[in-house]
Amino acid sequence: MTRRPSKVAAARGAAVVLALLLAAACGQKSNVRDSSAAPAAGDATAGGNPGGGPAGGSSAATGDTVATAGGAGAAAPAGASTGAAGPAAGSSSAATPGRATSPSGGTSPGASPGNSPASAAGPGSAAGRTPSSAAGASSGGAGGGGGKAAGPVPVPAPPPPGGGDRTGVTDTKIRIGIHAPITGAAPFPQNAFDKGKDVYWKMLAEKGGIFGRNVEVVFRDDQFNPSRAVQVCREMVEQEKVFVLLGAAGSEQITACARYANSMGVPYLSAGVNEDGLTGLSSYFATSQTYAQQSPVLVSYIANKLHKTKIAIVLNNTPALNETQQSVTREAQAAGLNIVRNSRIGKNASDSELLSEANALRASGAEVVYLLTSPVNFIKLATNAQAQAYSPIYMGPGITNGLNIVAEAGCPAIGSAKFLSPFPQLDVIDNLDPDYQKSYQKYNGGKGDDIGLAEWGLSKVIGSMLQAAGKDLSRQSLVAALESGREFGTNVYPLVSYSGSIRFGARSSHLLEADCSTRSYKTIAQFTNGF
Amino acid sequence: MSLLEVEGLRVGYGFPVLMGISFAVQEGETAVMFGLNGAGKTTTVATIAGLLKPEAGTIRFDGADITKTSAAERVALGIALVPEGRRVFPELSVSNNLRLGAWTKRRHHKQVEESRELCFNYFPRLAERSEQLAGTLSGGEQQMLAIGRALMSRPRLLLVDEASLGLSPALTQTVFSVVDRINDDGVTVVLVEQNVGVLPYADRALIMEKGTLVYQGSGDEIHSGSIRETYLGTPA
Amino acid sequence: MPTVLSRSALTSTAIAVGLAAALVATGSSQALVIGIITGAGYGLVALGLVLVYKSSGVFNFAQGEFGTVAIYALYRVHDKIGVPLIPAIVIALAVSVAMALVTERVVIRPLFDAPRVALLVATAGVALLAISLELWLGEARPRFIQPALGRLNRLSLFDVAVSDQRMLVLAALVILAVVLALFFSRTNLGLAILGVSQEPVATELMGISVRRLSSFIWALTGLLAGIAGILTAPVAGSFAPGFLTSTALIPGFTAAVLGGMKSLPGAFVGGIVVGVAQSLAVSSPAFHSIPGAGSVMIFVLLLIVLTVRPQGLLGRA
Repeated sequence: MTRRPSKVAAARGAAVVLALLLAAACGQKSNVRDSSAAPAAGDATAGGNPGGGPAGGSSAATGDTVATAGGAGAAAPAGASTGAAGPAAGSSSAATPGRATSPSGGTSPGASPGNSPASAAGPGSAAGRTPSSAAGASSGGAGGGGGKAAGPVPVPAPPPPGGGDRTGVTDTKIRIGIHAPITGAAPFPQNAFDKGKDVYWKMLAEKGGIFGRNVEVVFRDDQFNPSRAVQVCREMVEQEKVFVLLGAAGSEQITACARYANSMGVPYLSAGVNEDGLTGLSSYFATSQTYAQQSPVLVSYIANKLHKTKIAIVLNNTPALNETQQSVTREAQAAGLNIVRNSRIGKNASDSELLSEANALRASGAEVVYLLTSPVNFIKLATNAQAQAYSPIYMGPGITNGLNIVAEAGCPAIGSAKFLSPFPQLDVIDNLDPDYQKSYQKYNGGKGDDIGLAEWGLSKVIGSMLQAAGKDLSRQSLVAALESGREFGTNVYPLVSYSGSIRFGARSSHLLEADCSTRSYKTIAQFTNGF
Repeated sequence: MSLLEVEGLRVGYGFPVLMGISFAVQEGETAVMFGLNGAGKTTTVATIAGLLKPEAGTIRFDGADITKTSAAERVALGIALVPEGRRVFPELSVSNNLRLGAWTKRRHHKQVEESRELCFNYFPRLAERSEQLAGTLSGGEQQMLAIGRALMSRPRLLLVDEASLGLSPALTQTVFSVVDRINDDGVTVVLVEQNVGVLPYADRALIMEKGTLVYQGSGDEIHSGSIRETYLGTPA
Repeated sequence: MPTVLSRSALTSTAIAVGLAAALVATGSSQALVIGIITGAGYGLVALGLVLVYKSSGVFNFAQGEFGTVAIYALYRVHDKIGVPLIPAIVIALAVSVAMALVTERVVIRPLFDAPRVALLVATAGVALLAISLELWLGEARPRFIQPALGRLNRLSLFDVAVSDQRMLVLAALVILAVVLALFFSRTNLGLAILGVSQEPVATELMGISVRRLSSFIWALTGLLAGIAGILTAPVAGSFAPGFLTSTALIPGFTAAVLGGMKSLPGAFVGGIVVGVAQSLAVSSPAFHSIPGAGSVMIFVLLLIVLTVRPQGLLGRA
């Protein structure tokens, strides 16, 4: 008996161990996932371009896009090279605000400088590492601490031919990196992303590639966790030396990675999410409509097609979605809808929270629930609502809630849920792009799924952008091509175009509807921009 | 014949405590084991009860070698130890303490009932307090409970370790006299004691010093003889 | 013993009635119902924690994962191999019992004389191992399941529909708490377990094999965990590796501490109190702007109990 610690001491010790255990439990999941992702990346390392530098015309990559675009405006904050680091708190973090402000002053006038200070929080940690990575990686261009940025005189947007940062590009290969929430957000099956990620690129390779270059994809799981997202993005940039980064889904992860990529001068493209925190990033481009851009489309459908008036708004409780909440509230009010409940739920909501929310929704009498949460929360919320004998119509913007896995897991509780999507569903793809199923069959055997279709569509957009950047591909030439105002159409993803100031340039979305008799989604409107 | 035979018993806790002792206790006797603190008395009875494993030597009970059996098995054979410090279950009632004492007989309800009555007969105080938590009893009552609980297994050999420790002289005499009654009812008893007040009840006396048995003889011898002065330092 | 039982039962009832009355009076009746039906799951986990603590003084951090392993075994045997539900449940419970027995034999017994902290850490290690096992059995993605009992709105309390599955969890908790309380107060085996926790040496001297008893206790706790897992996963609607550790271990631990760590009725009441506190936190407008108010509330509750009344509501000082 004597050796036993007192109850209190033991209980306190227990609480500590408990915390450690939970942390470890999360880590455990990730490790397993990682090991499956790593080989995919590993086999591609051969093309590694260890000296990214030499590829660049001038010495070590004369300043990346960001720095050059910043021009004189950037010079002051970039004085970090002197170590003075005036505006920022610490010298190590000085690089980031410096970068964030420079583009807003330079290339994208009018972009809200207001969000710049916030950048210190997000990628602040990234910035801390920046100088060291710049020193370590001979490619240099990526890092560009402060010193380089201050050096070159302002260069206009299209860089001189032969110059620019060619990290990740060789004569035969272009390496791109993608992060997605394979775990943590949705019931994605293992290897769900592996099968489809190369289909488009294999087809393209047979047609000669992009100016003779084939695309290699490095895929990483961000675990629906922003700090993990920055970690995998850093790995892809600094170790895998990817040319460009893509974010598949998840607003917080995309925002975090985009800001990191911006600090490193790496072009970053993602599905449209929020604008807050992304506006003003000179290397960022949305390939589909943002949540806010989707708000009027959804509201017009509710008002003009469903003829419902009582709506509830439920979003995951992340600050990144504040603007979405505001925009949908604004649009709904403008359309004369009655917002009977406006709430946020935790990213990892407990049983109790979901049941409480379902109950509150039912009590509010909402006919339509505008929903922006992870699929896991959506399905659990719908299941709880159904258990309360309440089945509203769920609608929302999004990328993942319209996937068939959601219908498989969530039917019948999700009813005839309707979600916008950057890509259509399988029922119409043969009309829009017959190549998808043909290629999937050819390279993988069997029928392609909608996750493969999402990857196909994204690949197709990126492919057309890389093509547009020309034979002399560099990060600068890619950004220049994107900023040129040219339209990129794939007949899968919406038509999109950008300019120096427009980074959220998609024009439409597809509207998908769950069909619980087949436990899948069907496309009820293609390339729509309102009803 | 001897009920308990101990031969060359050697026990240590990393360092030697019992240096190879041998003795025997006849059926129906009351044997008293004397000695100063650290002499090895408690170690001896704990080893006989099976709580400690000897390094060498044998223990025979009723003719059978029980050296390798577990403590639990020895209870079933008929050896019960009332441990030093009583070790009653403080958060169980008196009645439940007794019930646990009857574990080896738990399927024989009639026997358990008889044992309980016998026990209450020896210690009427326990009957009065049967629903009280054992932890709330006085020291003397706890000692009674510990002995009563040991009796519930219907032992043939009862080992009692320092029954008088911390009890008033009057209470000590009460406990000794009950032990004497138990012995009269046919239970062989080994008492470990430092209190010489127990001598009138002893049929056999064993005196230990530093892990060895320095004297064994009849209770009468020690009660009257010079041995008492030699080993126990108290005149008769 | 009966006096003790009725006293703690009385205290529990008094606390429960007082709490319920306060909530109904302040218009939080829905949160009360939600709290009770979600808290039942925590209570189930707390029962297992209390059982092991009561008998061996160990906080078993693997408690949640014994249950999650049972869910995965059920998923594997029922959904993948196609064994009918009832035999599949038996197999799943057998798996969690086996896991608990192996833990006892391989981890607990060799460390029996080690400091309790070593055992604490060892059980945490077992939990991690179990999570790996679950990843192996069912990949790193959430699985969605439908409740075994279909009727969703048989009963409605304060305008909250209580599904059959939730009723089942609540009923299981009540039944198990009562059965265990009776087991401990009325049976020899139950008494023996209590005896071991109080005086292990004396227990051995009663002719009781402490080691065999330890195996029995762990088997029982494995069974409890298995029941908790199989019943609560359909209520949550989905499960993933680490399911019970991440959803129910902290609330269950809080419930056990609240109940005094050694009291089975305490674990029951503690579970309900934690559930109600959590549901109040997530539904109350006052906490609406706090993300994760429910989890915060559990920690606050745990802290308050540990500092103000470390012996728990029903524990003795």
